Amino acid sequence: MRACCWQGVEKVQVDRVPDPEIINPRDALVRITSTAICGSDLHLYGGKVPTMKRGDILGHEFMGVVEEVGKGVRNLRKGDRIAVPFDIACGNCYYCQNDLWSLCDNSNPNAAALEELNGFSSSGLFGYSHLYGGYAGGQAEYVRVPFADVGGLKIESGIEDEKVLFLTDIFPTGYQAAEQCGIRRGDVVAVWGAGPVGQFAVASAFMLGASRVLCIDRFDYRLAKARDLWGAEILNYERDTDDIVETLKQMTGGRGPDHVIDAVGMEAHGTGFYDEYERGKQFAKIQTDRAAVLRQAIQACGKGGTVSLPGVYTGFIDKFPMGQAFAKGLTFKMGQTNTHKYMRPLLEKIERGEIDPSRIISHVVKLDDAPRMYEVFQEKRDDCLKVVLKP
Amino acid sequence: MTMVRMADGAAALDEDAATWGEAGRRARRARSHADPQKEHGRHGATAHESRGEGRNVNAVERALSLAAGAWLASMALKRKDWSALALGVAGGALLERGVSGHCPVYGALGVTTARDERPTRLHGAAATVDAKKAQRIERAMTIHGRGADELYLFWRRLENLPRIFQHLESVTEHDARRSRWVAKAPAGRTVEWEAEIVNEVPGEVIAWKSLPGSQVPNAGSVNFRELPAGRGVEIRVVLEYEPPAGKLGVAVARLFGEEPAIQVREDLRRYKALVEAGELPVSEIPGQGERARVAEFNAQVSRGDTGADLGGFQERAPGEAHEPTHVPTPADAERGINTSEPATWEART
Repeated sequence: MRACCWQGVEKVQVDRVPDPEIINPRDALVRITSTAICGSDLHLYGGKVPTMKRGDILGHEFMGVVEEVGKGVRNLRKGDRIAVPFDIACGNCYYCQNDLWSLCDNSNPNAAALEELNGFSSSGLFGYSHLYGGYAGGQAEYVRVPFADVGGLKIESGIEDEKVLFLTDIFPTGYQAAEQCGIRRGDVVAVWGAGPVGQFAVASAFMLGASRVLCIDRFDYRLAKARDLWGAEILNYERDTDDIVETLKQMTGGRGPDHVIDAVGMEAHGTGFYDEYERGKQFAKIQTDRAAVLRQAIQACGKGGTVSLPGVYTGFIDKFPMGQAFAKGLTFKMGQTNTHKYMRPLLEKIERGEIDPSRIISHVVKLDDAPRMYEVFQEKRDDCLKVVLKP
Repeated sequence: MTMVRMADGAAALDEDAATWGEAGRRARRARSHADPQKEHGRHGATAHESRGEGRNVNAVERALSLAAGAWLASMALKRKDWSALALGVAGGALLERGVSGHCPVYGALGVTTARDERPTRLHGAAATVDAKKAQRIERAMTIHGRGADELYLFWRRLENLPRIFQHLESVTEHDARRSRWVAKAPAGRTVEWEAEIVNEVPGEVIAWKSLPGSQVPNAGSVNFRELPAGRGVEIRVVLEYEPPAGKLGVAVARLFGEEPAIQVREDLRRYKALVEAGELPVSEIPGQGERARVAEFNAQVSRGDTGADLGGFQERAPGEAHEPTHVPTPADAERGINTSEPATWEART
């Protein structure tokens, strides 16, 4: 089969590789009909995530048709159309049973290595380094889906792929980011990053009762989407303000946003000297993550608010404004998305027509175009917001 | 005296049970069927000592006895009168006391000051693990969705243990207490020992120790504790063993990724996955070794040759859960990561 393989920093290529096969009883083999490039794939592309190996198949947002199931899969059959969550979870451990699917105890074959790094292991992920299990990803013609019986969400209506594909990661990720803020009617929420996750965080914050959502980015075309699609108030931090924290405070009557969402993560961009300083530290390995957005978000957040982090962090940061966080009585919520928890309720919202996730798609291309689209997405060329690949 | 250390060795495991709360308290109450020699040893003074034959003088006293005895003896040699004889007898007795560590007076009175000393080597029927050479492995985990009684029954059937611990080749139970264990050793060899159960409380604790003549003297225990509010069962495994080639042997084994502490950790991780998820997570790491392993595993599955029912634990899919004989080990994991070598799974473009 053909698959999009990581070959080194900023180098991916579509290779011919052996077809996957059923290994475990709870596996399913899926022929992929649609897959996407995620913003977090750019962390892999940029070489920011350790333990990638040449030849690893990328991709953790995919859906398709079941070709074969293992003996332990009773609820899926050949021909079923399924969307597959990016985190792999057993469904039986304490964490799965408590809707903390991304913290599954039993799905990561390299749990020992992740435990060495983080103190505890978490779930395996598709196509996201060997620390997260070394599972082959879904930017391919076929994929093996472990624990398909708890992961595979059957799509029984004839709804098109593009509308449900993002149930596999970014829609639940944006939704969890908003949900864990504990938004009450009338709250004002600020979202850093108008990328795909930021878009869904904005949309979800409105769904959950926010009266205003302020969205911060440096790309006008992305901010325009957040405004036009969902009704966000937008702020280009490179052009509209010298002091984002003060500006947000004034935009909210001196209170600051009730909750803040960092949909950017460890490769944050900033401006001026401070941005250079952050990049220098990351380059010199003094810190692994650039935390410009996280610091701003903490500083900007209003008293008693929630700092919600859908953006990915992997290591250490310094100059964390802990005193401010404490003084304001903030709550921090973070972590990989517990995708399984949100897939079905969000599918129902989509089927009821309450939201159309396909509106964020900027490119639909063939799988063979993946290497070029990684580059375009990385460099934010061509108004690239979300790339869907067709095998 | 020779039994004291053994008592400590086995007692250490019981103390573990003790610190484990109620399970431990009940374990101690239930110890009536444990090794009577151990009970004896726990009280310190042995038959030897009460008969006045063993060592009953501690090191400090022995040194003082030697010094005083030597001084008295030298005085005796200088004197020519009757007092030389008395000094000589007294000095000789002190020298004897210092050299032998046995004091006949202490013996007659049933006193010993040597009780806290630990000999460097164990002897005798009750000896199990030499604390100075022992490696101790302790590992706790929590299993969700099963009761302590159910888990206990699986472990209590010792013949199941090789299904948990990859480096155990077999355990054969002779009777309710005695069993023969065969473990894999480096370089394709095996080591064997006889063991007996020294403590068991259904649903709570199993403790065993090797019998004299073992190639690898060892003792172990496993405790089960049911958590409140359906939070699962805490299982804690403690193993103590004398590595055949001493601590150097452990260091060498570690170089080859065979350190028992890591093996136990990974074995228990696999056990948890099998019990909770019904299968082991396996990725399709693109490498020839992994492909071969997957092929081997698939062959096994197609033969239906697995029977990994874990003592009837597979309620999800009875008879359909499969336990591969070879699954990724920590060494494999290390091989799978931290390498910059290109994948051997060549791209065929």
